[in-house]
Amino acid sequence: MGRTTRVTNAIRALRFARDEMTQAELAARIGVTRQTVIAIEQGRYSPSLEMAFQIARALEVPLDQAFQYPDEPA
Amino acid sequence: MTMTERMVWASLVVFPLVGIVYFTVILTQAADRPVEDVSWVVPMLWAWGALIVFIIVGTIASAIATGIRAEVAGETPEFEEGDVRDREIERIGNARAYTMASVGGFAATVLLMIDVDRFWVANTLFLAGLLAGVLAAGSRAHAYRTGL
Repeated sequence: MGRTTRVTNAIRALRFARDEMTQAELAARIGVTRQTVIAIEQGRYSPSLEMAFQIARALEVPLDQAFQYPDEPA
Repeated sequence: MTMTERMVWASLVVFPLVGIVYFTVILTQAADRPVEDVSWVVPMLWAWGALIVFIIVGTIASAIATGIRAEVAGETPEFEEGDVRDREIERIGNARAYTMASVGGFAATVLLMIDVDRFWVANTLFLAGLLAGVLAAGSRAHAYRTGL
């Protein structure tokens, strides 16, 4: 088990940019627990595509601004 | 920590504890008499009862702890049965538990085929059940700690 994805995210920074939205507020908007938001922010949980869209919409940014997938190393 | 996660961690303590107490009682008896004469039914009923009481009391205590923690932090308590992440983690735990229970069931069938005393069959199934519980809780705790 453990982290199996290279997906990163900017949720924490985007929350602060959105009037310092709390983790609890974001969790309530997307219908998950605060612990799940914490896990996503820390990269311990990769959300489904649907949840990723919900997060991006709650933060009012495009999906690829909330989540990033780095290029393969050369 | 959600109620669900708190119960997982508590299970990780209680299941092994119940197993240790039960098998200590049984093996102490088995040390000075044939296993056919060991009184295992009543201790096993007590062990089952302890696990059932743990689930009921643990859920109530976990709800109280969740409420107090949220009150102190000034947040809305998360009493619900977890979310999609909790369910994914639960599926991992259940898969491991199912494998262990299957192994236990197979072992018990073999024991019945070779016609051993029912002591061995019952305790093999009980041990498999306990190990399934520990394995499920351990897998879930690991997933909560390190991620999916």
